[in-house]
Order: sequence, then C-alpha cells, then structure tokens
Amino acid sequence: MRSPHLPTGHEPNRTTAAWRSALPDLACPAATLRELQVTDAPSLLAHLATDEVSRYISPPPSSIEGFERFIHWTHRERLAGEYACFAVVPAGMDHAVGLFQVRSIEVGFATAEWGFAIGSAYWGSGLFVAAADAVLDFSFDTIGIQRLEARAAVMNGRGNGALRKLGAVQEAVLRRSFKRGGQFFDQVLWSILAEDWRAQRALWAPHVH
Amino acid sequence: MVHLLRHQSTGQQAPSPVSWRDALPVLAGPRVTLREVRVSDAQTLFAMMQMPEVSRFVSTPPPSEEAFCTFIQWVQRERALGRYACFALVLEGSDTPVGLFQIRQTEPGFVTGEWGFALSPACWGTGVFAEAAGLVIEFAFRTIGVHRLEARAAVANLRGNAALRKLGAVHEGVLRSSFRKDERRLDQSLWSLLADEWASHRPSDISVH
Repeated sequence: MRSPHLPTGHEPNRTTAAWRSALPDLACPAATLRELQVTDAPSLLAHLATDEVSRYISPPPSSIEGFERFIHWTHRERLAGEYACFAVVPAGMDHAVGLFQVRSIEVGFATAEWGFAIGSAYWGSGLFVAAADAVLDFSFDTIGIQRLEARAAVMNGRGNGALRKLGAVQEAVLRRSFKRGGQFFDQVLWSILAEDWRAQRALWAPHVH
Repeated sequence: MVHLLRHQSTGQQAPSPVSWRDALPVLAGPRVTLREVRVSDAQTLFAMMQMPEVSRFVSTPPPSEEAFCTFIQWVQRERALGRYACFALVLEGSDTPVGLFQIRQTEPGFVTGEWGFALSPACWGTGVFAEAAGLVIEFAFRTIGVHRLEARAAVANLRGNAALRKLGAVHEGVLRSSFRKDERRLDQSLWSLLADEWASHRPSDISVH
C-alpha cells in the first residue's frame, strides 16, 4: 500500500547550494535569466496581466504592488530552499517580460514542478525555447532535479505545444484539476527526466554550439 | 502559458467553518472505526510500518518509534492548519490501530487532495480496507470539501492498484520515475476520484451506514 507523506519525522535533506542564497544569472542567446527584482513589477504587470497570457493560468497579481509582494515572496521561498523563480530579460532590455518558476514537490528536490509565463509580444520569437533550455540545464545540473513535471490546461494549445517541443512526455490528463473563474478544467501532465534531458542535449549539442 | 502562480501564497485564506481542524471526527462503519492518530499509537504503527510486506511500496517511514511520535505530533499541527488529516484504523472492539489513512492538500484551500494508506497484512483480503476507504473518501469530499482526490501507487504494487480500481478510481496515467524507494526510482500509477462522480457512482459494496 502507498502512503504519500510518511517520512515527515525527518528534516528535509537541505544541501548548502549557493543558488539558495542568490540565483546565478543564466545567459542564453536571446536573453538573460536572473533573479526577479522589485523594479521588475511594472514590466511584469504590463506583460503578464493580460487576457492572452493569463487565460489558462491562475490570475496573476493585478497591480504593481501585487507583483512587488509576489517578488518578495519568491525571494523568501528561494531562501527556504524549495523554490526558484527566474526573470526573463530579453537581450538589450533591463526589465523582465516573463518568468520561470521551479518548485520542489518531493523532499530534497528530486521531483519538481515548473511553470512559465512570457509576454505575448515575445511569443513565437524563439525567446521561450532559448530561456527554457537554460532553466532546464539549471534544474537538472545545478538543483539536481531528477523528474520535472509541468501541468497545462488541455485547451492551452500553445503551452502544451511548447512543452512537447522541449521533449517533455505527456503522461496523463488530470481530470478537473484546475479551477479558474469558478470552473474546473482538465490539465495535461508532462514530465522531463534528467537522463532524457542529458541524452537529448548530448545528441543536439554539436548543432547548437 | 504554463505556470505555477497557483503555488503562490495567497495570504490569508478564508477560515473554513468546518471543525475538523480542531479535532478529527470519529468515522464509524459496521466493522471499522477511524479516529485521529495519537502519540500512543506510535509503537504499534511503527512496528506495522517496519513489516517488509507493508513497507515495500511506501516511502521510507520514520526510522524509530521516537521519530514516529514526532511524525504524529507534526500530523496534528498540520491538521490544525487545515492541510492534512491522518486517521488510525481500529477494528470493532479494539483500540489498537491496524492501519493508517492520510489525506493531504495538494494545493492551498484543499480543493484537490492526495490520499494514501497502509494496512496490517492481517487485514488484507477481509473487506476492512474497502469499508475504511469509503469512510475516508466520504470525509474528504463531504467534510473537507475536496473536489478531486488523487492517489499514487507504484506500478509494481498490484494489491494497491487493484484496491484503488475496485473503489472506482480512474487510472489517469503512469508517472515515470516519480517515487524513490531505497535509492531506486519507480514508476507510479496516478488515480483520481472526483467528488461528483463519487456521489453518483459510489460502489454499492462500500456504502456507508
């Protein structure tokens, strides 16, 4: 039989990884990924609090102050060691136009869930895939995640297409697992395993660099 | 896009009017009673969880009786916070636990939850599980107000998967490498029950009296 949550008499296995004190900057061709800064709030509000972007996600903060609180919260969660949130800053810009979040869902970060949102002005520009590659490298190589899950509403064609393109495997449809505007929606569960990501990277690396 | 903002702290949750946070109710069926796990159960439950046939597909349990006491105290704090419930299963005429049922929220507000169970082998095949499971599921849907109740069982755990199927749970997929057991990673089946389906299709042999 299976019990989901027994081993809680123990303290989590916290490694003393440097990223828990401050996230490193990750460079990719189209953008820099860095820690969120409070000054990103107006830009995030403009890029993410739109109908297009927020259609299939829980409502993002609806004010600059709300995003500021969110940004402070991401810093506290990162210090607690079970969460990381990167800002996506396109080359030549100072402020974030999107974000990637990674959260531990198993003690010690062996399994995690990630999610992302990027301003619609950058959809189809290649920014997402370049940034996602950098976040995935960080997740598997630096954090040490073995299994990375993502959930996307079934009718979120763009989100599901993006995950498929990255090599994620569709494992299940989670019936009525997501509540939005008083209604329940089904979500697709995707996963990427560390060994698959490394194999994929080894295969393509010669073409990429 | 695909995101994790739903994990964000939503600040103050509206306090739920239900009282299960103060003390779990006693759930009674014809043959079984479920009550909150107590520190005085630690010795019995620790011994049960050490049995190889019980522990085979369960996350590594607390490693000592003392650690089990700590786990039970943690459980009670989590219950008071409205995030978790842990029942001990006792048989008619006894107060010695022969099983453990857990429910935890998988997102803030307990709209979705995950449950798990462990049962002494002496009770396997006796119908005790189905009766107790029916009571726990009713509690999750009616008292806590869970909308979607998930369960995960290692694919190799034939007994656990069969028990979930018999309850009417729907097999949604296989989660690759999602469960760590003794340094190995195993695939798990993901099962779900929905509150509205349960209300209309509850298996007749586990009706609650």
